[in-house]
Amino acid sequence: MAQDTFNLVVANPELVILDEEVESLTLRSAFGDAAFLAHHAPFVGEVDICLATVVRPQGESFQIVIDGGLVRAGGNRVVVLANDAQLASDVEQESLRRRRQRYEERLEELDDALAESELRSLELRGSLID
Amino acid sequence: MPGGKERALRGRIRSVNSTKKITKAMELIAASRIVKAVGRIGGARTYFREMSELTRELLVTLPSYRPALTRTEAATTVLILVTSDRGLCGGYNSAVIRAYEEQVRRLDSPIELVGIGRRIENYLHFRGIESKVQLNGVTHLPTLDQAYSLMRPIMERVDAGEVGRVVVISNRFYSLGLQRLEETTLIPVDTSAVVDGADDPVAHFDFEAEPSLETVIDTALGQLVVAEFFGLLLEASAAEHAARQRAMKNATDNATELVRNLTRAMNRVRQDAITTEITEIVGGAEALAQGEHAMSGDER
Repeated sequence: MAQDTFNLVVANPELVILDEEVESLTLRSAFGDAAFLAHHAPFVGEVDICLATVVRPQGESFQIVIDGGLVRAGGNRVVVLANDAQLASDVEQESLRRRRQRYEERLEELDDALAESELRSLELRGSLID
Repeated sequence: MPGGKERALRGRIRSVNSTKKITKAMELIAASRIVKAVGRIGGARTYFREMSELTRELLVTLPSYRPALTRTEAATTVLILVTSDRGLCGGYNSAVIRAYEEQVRRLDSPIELVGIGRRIENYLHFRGIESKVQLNGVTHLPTLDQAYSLMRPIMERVDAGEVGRVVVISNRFYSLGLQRLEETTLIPVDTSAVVDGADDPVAHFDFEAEPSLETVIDTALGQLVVAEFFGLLLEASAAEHAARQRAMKNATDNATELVRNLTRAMNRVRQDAITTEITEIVGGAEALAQGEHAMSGDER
C-alpha cells in the first residue's frame, strides 16, 4: 500500500513547533491557497501570513498561525520555515494583548510594510480568540 | 588588649562568609540559567540547519544569480559587539573589547558600531566613541524580536549598497567547558561554504519555485542571516551564564580559602591570649605563694 502520509516540520528561528507524520497541509502562498499531500513534487515558495490547516492520519485536524516565511517540499517531507509560528490552540488573550501593546509602542519606528504585516498577524490571532 | 584582635578577625570571617553565601547563590543561579540557555540553542538549531540546507540547494540550482547579501562592493563595515549588561563574569566582556580594538587597528575601511549590552555602552561612552545603535537587555534572555529589529535595518542598508560587511564579535558557546570569543562574518554570506556540498546527490534539485527562484533565494538568505545572528545571541547568552558561573565558583572557592586562613589566624591569636593569661595567672600565683612564704618566715 502506498504511503499516504508525509513528514511535516514547522519551525521558527526559536524552536520547532511541529514535527510529525501528517496527511495534508493547507496554507496560503504568494499566489493563493496551496495544499500539500504525500509525495508532493519538489517545490519551494513563499508563505503569506495565514492560518494553516494540518490534517493528521486519523482525520483529526488543527490549525497553526504562520507569520510568513518559506515552505519547501521534496522527498515526502514538507518543511515550513516560518518567520514566526504558533499553534492556534496556544494563542492566548494575555500574550496577544502584550504583543499588541508592543506593536503600538513601536509603531512610529516601524516601516510601512513591517507595520502592516504585524497588524495582519495581530488581527489573525485576534480573530481566533473572538 | 588581646581580645580586640580576635574580635576583629571574627568580624572579617563573618563578612567573608556572607560574601561567600552571595557568590554561591549567584553560581547556582547561573548554573540553572545555562541549562535553559542551552535548551534554547538546541531549539533554534533545526530552523538554521533547514534554512542553510535550503539556501545551499537554491544556490546550486541557480549558480548564475548573485544576491545582494553575497556581494561586497560597499566599503563600510558594521561591527556588532555583543557584551553583557552586568559584570561579575570574568573575562567575558574584556575579551570582546580586546577583539574590537584589534579589529579597529586592522581595518582601514570605515566602521559603524552596533553595541549590545551595558558593558560596551560604558566602554564606548568612556572613550567618546559613538555607536550607531545601542541595545541593552539582550544577552540575559535574547528574543527573536530583538534579532529582527537589529538586523532588518542593516540588511536594508546592505541592499541599498551602503554597507558591505557585517561582523559580529561575540562569545560562542561550544560546551559547558568550552566557550570562545569569535568574529563571525554574517554578511557577505559565504556562499562557498554553503555551496561546498554541491557534490551531494540531494543537492541536484529541480525546484518549482513561487514567486521565482531569485525572490526565494533573497528571502532565504535574509532569513538565514537573521537566524544565524539570533543563534549567536543565544550562544552569547549561554556563554555569559557559563562565564558567570565559573567566576562565581572561583570567588566562592577563594572565600572558603580566606575563611580557613582567617580562622587559623584567629585561633592563633586566641591561643596566644590564653597562653598569656595562664602565664599571668601562674606568675601571679607564684608571686602570691612567694609572698605568703616570706610572711610565714617573718612570723617564725
